[in-house]
Amino acid sequence: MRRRLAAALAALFMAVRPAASGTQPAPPPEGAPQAQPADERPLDARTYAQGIEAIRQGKRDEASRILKRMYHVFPDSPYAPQAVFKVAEMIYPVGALDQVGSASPAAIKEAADLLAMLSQRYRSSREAPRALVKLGYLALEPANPAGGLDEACARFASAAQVYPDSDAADDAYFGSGMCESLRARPARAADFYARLLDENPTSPLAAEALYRFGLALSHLGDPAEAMLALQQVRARHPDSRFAPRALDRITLLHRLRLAPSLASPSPPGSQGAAPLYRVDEDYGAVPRGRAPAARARTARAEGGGADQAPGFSGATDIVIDAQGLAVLASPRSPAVVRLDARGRVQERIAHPGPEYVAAGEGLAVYISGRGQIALNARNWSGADLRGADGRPPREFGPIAVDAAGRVHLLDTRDNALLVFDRSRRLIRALRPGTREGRFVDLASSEDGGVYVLEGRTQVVLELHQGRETRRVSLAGLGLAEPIALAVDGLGDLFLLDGKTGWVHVADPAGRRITLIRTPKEVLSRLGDVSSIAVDAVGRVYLCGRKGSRVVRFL
Amino acid sequence: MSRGPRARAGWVVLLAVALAVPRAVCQEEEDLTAGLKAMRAAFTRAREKIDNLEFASAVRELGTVIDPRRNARGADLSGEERELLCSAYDLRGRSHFNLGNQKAAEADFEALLRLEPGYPIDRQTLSPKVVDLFDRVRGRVAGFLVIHVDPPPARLSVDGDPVEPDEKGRLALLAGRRVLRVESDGYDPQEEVLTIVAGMEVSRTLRLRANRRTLQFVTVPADVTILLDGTPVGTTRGPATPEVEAMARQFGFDPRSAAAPFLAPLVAAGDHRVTFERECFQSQTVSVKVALDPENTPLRLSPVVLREARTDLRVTSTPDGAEVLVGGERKGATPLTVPGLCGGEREVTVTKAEVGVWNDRIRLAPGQVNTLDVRLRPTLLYAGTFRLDEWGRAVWSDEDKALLEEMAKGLKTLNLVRSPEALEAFRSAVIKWMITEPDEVRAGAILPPAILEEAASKARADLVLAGLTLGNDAEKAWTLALYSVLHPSPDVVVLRTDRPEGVRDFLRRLDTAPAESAPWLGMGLVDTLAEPGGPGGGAASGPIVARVLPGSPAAKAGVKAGDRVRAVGSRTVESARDVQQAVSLEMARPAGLKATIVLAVEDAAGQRTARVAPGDSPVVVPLIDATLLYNRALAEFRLRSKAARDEAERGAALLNLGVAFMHFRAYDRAQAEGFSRASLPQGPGISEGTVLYYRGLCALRRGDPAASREAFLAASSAAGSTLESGDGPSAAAAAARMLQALE
Repeated sequence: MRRRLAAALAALFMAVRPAASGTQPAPPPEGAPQAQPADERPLDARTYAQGIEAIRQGKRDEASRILKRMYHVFPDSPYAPQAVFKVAEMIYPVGALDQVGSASPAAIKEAADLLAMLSQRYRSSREAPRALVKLGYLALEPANPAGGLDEACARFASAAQVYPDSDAADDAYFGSGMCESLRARPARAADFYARLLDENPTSPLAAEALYRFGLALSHLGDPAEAMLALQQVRARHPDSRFAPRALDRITLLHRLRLAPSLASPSPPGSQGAAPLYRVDEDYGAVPRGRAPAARARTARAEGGGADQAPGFSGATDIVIDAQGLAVLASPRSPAVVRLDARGRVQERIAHPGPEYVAAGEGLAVYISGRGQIALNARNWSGADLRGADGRPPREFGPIAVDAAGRVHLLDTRDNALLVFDRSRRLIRALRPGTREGRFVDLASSEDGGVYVLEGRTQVVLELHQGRETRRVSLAGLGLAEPIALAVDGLGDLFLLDGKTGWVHVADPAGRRITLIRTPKEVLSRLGDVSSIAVDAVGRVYLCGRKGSRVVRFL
Repeated sequence: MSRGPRARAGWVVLLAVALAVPRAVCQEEEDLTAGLKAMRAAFTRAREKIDNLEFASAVRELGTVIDPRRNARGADLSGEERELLCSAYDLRGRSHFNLGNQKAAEADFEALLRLEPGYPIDRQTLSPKVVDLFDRVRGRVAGFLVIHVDPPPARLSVDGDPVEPDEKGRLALLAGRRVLRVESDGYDPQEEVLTIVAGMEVSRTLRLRANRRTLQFVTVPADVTILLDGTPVGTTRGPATPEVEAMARQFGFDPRSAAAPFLAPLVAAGDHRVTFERECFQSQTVSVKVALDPENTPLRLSPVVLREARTDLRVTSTPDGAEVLVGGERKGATPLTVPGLCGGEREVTVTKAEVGVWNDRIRLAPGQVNTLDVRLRPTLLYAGTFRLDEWGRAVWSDEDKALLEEMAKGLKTLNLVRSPEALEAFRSAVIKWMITEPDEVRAGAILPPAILEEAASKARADLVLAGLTLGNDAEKAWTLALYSVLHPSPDVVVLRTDRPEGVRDFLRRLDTAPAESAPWLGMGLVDTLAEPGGPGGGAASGPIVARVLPGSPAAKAGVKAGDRVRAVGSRTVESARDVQQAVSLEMARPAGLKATIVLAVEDAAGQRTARVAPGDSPVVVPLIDATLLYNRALAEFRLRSKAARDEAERGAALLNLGVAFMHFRAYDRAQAEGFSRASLPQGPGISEGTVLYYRGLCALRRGDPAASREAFLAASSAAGSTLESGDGPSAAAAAARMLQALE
């Protein structure tokens, strides 16, 4: 009686044991030491263990050969899906969205075939949802001819819907959210991030998902909700790298959404009761109290001549890098200059004739000018960069880089936008929609989009994944001669009017938010105003071709 | 190699010794018993021979009894041996006398008297000559002591051997110096050295000195238990004696209810606390100073009159209409007042079918109305922890000792039952299941709901907790599964048997009911970087009010979106977190009074003061919270929904019930038992819009997009409604997003 009870209870409690037992022998956890002596294990288990051991020893080719043999010879083994996944992982090791972008077409094809087979044939295995998520990453690879956002979204969504309880569910939700963000569908993106937060609140992706949930909300016309969601990042994940970014975005939302909506209507022609911007007099200023001689020393130390202002001499383009610092192209210096948080020169990147700059990941700066594109001090474009007609671009004009590392270059002479992937392959070429249209500037936003300013027609094109997703008319803004464009994280457009030196700030639909009337003394300080940038909290930066300082509006 | 045989020989010797030693002990015991038997047999044979007048044979026979013990001291012999030996000397002496050997007779009588000086020879049946000879011998070897001890009785010993004088206090002793010791409880012992002269009688009177005191108590009523310094010494009994009747006249109590005097002897000198207890009477404790009395006359204390301690118990419950049992006896339904209960600790149970139970021991203060306001609680059956040994057999485990110890301290929010009948039923059901569904057992299916339902039903429990440990698990993992009667998925918690702090943490989680409400201001604060627009054109800092819900306490106090909060009360604040902390401190006022929060806020027009009176808002559990036991939550929300005092409370409980079902992906039940029945009023905070949003979400998850759209559409127009709590995200905005996402 006691034995029978014992047996029954043993079976009963198998249910609450962490590893559920099934009719098939459950495969051991990955990399776990084998309890049985090698000669007693079934052949499939032994072969799989050999493959794993070869991986441990760094013998990748041997491991790949053994594991491939394993799943070909024992396709019904419980180890087969693990083996397939291991091989795919060796071919395509990307495990997160921010690692996407550098796989070769051959690797993409081989890994995609394996993972597709895994997700179809072994759909009840633990690896199936992981395979779907990886297929999603593969679909986002720029070099994947069969990929694309739609494909990626479908893969992530399948993983999330079919396997909501799997250990890849958080990756699937996150991937879906990112996909929808890139498709400029913030409501759907927010839904996926919310599901991740609801169902996997302890996921390592939770902090970023909450932050991106807030970003998605910030595009949905309810700034208060977005701000409160972002505040939750600060409250729940105060030590994560997303907490300061959330603070930036809240500040931006307050400045350009909440505050303008609360301001009392201003009489026509006035700036309104409370101006949203004022000149930051401290930015780039030489510290007070220093003697002229000391200033000159500082100037020399920072690379400027004794007879010129510190750091640089005029700038043709300005951009904000990933650290939030201003980066300038100064052909007269000639150098690319990175300013510190106080507006003083922090770094100089030598270049024979920089005309335009774009910020990449981290400290990466793409420099356009003198018939080439440089990545910091290295030539990036090389000699074989080809435009739409198979010839090299004729004029290396404004440049921008999107979230996936695609380089967008304006060939101002051909009036064409050329989009290159990380491997410098041309993946798209775009021309203005109308004959009179003329591309004059490019800008990228924090949320991954690239924006192209058509000067004459006063239209801004919004591009995601290298494709045009939207056109915004600037007709209602009263611009005389738009010469430069900057875009903030909300998709707000900051347009520099070359004629007046004023900055027109419009929302993503092209409606005016505010107008920054650049004071005359500022314009004279800048000389010939040339470019504009906006940082994560909405501060506006202006540079001029002759000025030796950047003007910042707080 | 050479040590091998030697070592083996050594082991053999050791083994032999080990086996032999206990055997030797047994042998000795057997020999003793055999010796006594032989002694008895020889004595019986000798007596038969004397009866047949075969005195010579009797002398020989008695020699086999006497000779082996000739030199033995009285103290070396057992009682029966000594008695037989004395009788043997007596019979042999008489036999010698009858054989005409007077010298041998004298020698035997002398030996007898040296062994037992007070030996009583049979003077009725023996020849006067033999008696005379015996007395003469006694006159040569022994004298008499006549002793009187005051107070009697006392324990006497001579030369360390206990002695018993006859009724006249006469004691025969061997001639010579003897040490007499007298002892009696409550008195100092006395010793005296006496010289006993053969054939003479000496007389002694010893007065003992008391070192304890007897106390005398009289109680009204009788049957009172008396505790002396916390130790029970007895219970008073009636009826009263004439002495007590006299006391009654003096002290004015009714002698018919009084007890007879109760004597507590042997009380040491000094201060003592005496407690008098009787059920339904107020206990009384008095201090007594005890002084010794050489005569040990009882210390008579004043009569102790206990007052009757009856009391009324007023019981209210949430919900009303629950049955009240006091000490297992039904008293009626709440609200009610139970009159005339005895004071002291009582077992009170308040129960309502299909809702819940409240059960505890409470102390009723006599002479006043005791009020008891209870909220019915879910009931938990702990089914035990089983250990799977290395052969896969399950045995009852004692590794849940820490859990049981913690549970024994009492649970605050759950009633705990550990009914043997329910456990037996549980075991039987498992066996039956094993026999009827062997495949399911082999596959390791989860516990069938029917078994749980039966176990829970037998114990009238809402929750069943069972544990499992593995006998050979180096990790010492202990898996606890908490099941609810509402659905089959358990909450599974893995603890470690060697970490009792984990057990305490688990019990804390188990014994924590989900919060019902939270303070509510109705405004959402965010931090920003310093921005232009501060005083005097400088930078502005401090948290910003991003949202104010219409109709909320903050809105009523005039707080607007875009205001900057500068201070809470007298505390300057720099961040939203500062505000949260300051508000918590302001609200943590004593006496449970809700403080009015004074906020210093600032907008473009300048600084002003807003007085916010925080409200209470229901809260909604998250879909997944690693610290929450969702089956525990289900039981709680079900109970709350049945115990709700109004529709809003019921709605909040049903809303939470639905969310808890959603946690287990039981969307149909979430809809049917939670969201479809939940009804909350329109307005800000957790309200109708919240319910509509969750209805939409639940419909979406169970694959009904049309119902989902309809619910989201309705929710999107419920402005001001929130999720999670009164200050949570907007339900309307979330619903609008979902509608967009569904397009």
